[in-house]
Amino acid sequence: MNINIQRQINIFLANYFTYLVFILVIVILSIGYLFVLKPKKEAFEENIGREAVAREQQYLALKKDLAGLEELSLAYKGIDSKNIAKLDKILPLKPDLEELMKQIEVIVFQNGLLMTSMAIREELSKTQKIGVARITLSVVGTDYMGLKTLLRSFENNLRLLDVQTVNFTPDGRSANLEINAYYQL
Amino acid sequence: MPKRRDEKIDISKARAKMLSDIHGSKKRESLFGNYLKKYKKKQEEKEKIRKEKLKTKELEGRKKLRADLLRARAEQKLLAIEKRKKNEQARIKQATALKEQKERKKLELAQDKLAQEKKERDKLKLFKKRELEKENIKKEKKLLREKKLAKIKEEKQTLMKARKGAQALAKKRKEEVALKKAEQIRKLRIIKARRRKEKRKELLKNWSGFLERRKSVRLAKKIEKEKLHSERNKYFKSATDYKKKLNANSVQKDARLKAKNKSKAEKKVKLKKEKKIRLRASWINFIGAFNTIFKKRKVLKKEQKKDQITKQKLFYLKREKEVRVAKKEKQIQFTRGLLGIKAAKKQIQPKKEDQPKKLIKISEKELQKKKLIKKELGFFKKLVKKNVVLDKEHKKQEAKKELEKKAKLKEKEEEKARRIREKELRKIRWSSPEILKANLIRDEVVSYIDWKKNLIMLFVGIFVSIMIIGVSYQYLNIEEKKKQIVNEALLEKIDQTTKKIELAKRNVKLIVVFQEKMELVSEIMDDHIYWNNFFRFFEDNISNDVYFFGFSGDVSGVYSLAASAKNFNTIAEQIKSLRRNESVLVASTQGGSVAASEIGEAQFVNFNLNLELDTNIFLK
Repeated sequence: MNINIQRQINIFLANYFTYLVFILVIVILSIGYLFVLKPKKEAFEENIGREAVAREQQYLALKKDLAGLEELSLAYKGIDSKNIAKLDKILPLKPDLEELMKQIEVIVFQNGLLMTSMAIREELSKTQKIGVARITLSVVGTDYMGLKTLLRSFENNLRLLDVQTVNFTPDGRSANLEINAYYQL
Repeated sequence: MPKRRDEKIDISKARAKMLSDIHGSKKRESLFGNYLKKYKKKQEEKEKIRKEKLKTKELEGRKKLRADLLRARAEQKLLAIEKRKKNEQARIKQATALKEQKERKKLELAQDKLAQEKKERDKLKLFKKRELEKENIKKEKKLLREKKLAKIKEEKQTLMKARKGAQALAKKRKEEVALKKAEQIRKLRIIKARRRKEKRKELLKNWSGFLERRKSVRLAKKIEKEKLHSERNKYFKSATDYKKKLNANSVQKDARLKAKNKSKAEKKVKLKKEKKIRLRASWINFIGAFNTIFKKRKVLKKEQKKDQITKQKLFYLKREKEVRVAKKEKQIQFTRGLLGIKAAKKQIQPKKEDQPKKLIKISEKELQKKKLIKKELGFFKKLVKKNVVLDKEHKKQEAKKELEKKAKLKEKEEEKARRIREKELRKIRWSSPEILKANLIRDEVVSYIDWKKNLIMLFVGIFVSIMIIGVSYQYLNIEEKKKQIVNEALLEKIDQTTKKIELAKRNVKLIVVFQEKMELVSEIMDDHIYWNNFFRFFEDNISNDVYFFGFSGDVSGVYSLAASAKNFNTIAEQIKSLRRNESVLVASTQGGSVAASEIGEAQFVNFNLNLELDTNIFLK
């Protein structure tokens, strides 16, 4: 019996030894993968892979921001400094009421009119970022055409002035105006 | 001396003149406005001066009259009061001197006033000139403002264009970057695809080579197996032929023996006993010989494992040698056994001396049979039985001769077969057999395992698998290190970009402020009020027969204006035309009243015009 079994084993080994070796190799490989490579890979992905992904995302976001900022700075550099200064004059950062008084006097004088009174006061702001200064002005020696030219000169003034009310009496050749001037809060 | 009447007449004329002048000045004032008012004032002042002059003249006349009266009185009282007169005269003189001085002063003042008037006139002239100059300056300034406004508009447009251009540039850059990335990804994909193809080709090549090798090995194995089978079959055929011949001979001999040995039945019992003894001895010897052969075969197998190419050849040669040796040994053993039997026979039958020789030769044949098939041992027994039965010498000799001839023939045949086999073996290249040679002994197919090769294969397999795991582990390590390096590089890049962003943010603060300001300015500009639009609307939509007494209003768009028209028809037409306009929301009146006019002047109807306009009229 033993001889027969041995013989059978021998025959089996002779016929299928290569397959056995192949199976053994697969077993070793699978064990190696399951107990060596897979934990290593998982640890590697957990520790470094996630970090790398997070850092890449962060870097991309920062790059985007930087590109936007560079674009903005380029666009800003393209603007003439004179124009920027003009913007400050159109809408100053302070009420600057003294300068406003000067400007209005000059405008009235340039139009050949006599200014009998002028009062300036700060009013409630138009929006959260825009403040308003109200100017009440009374002018003498103006006719209809003179009033029109005066209004036009107020309209076209570099600092923005909005005439809110107009009171014109041609008999008295006088006019009372209420003007809004703006500034940035 | 001027008379009182004359003086009165002068005063009236002067008054008339004054009145006419005042009237004229009023008219002028109405014509020339404010500037003429000043002129009127000056004229009034002049008139006042004139009046004062006249008054002074009157006063002088009166004073002179008083002085004459006083002189008359003094002449009357001269005598009475000479001293008083003298004193009075002195006093009067003094008073007159003083008066004269006063008059002179007054005259001087009048002269000064005249000079001032002249100066004022000059000033007026200069003022007029200045006004003209101012008007010119105004016009120039207007032109300049218009130019400035145009410039501002142009600048705004350029700003907007620059902004748009910057945005377009940014978009283009983004698109370019995206295209570059896409190209890089495409290139990487192409490279990866090439590598995959190359790998596939290599794998296919390896696989095809492996299959070819496998096929060749299988073919070689098949050929070997077939050859072995053919050899085995040949051996079996020869053995069966030999068996048949032996059987035929034995049948003939049996017939002869039956005929001859019928009378000697008694002797058979004895012979049987002897046979048994002899058979036992021979059987023991045979088994011993067989064992030695088997052991030697085992040794041979071990040797075959060491050198497979030479082993097979040597195996055949050694086997043949061993067979010869075994033959000899068997012969010797057999002869020994036969000698024992002879001795026993001599004791019983001294005549039968030549029998062992015959038996030896027969046993040789039997041994040959044994090599081929194990189960042929029964035949040996028969042979022994038959050979023992042979009594006559001549018959034995004949049989002996025949057997010798056959043996010789067999030997020749075997030699031929051996030579052929050797030639074939020389032709066949050795390849590792899995199942080795079939034993010539029946049912004993020994399978040889090429342990060396198998072990090598096993170790190689284990080594390769361990190597694969090790290499992949190393690869993972390398990848980890690479990723770490990449991470570090990314960290550095992040630091750099954050620094750059911080730098850029410093500029951005200004930009943000500028942008906010731009937005606020645009917001205010959108709501900027243009009163000129409003007045232009009135100029365009109010008929020439309608006049306004004034204007008071704000930006709300609701107005009630006092106006005068030629007649009621014009009022109605005017309101109708206003209602037709899109920007007029409401236009109404509550009627009018005819104005009281002076004689000769045209009549006018005063009315109140209620208007509600769209506030967009103030916006550009």
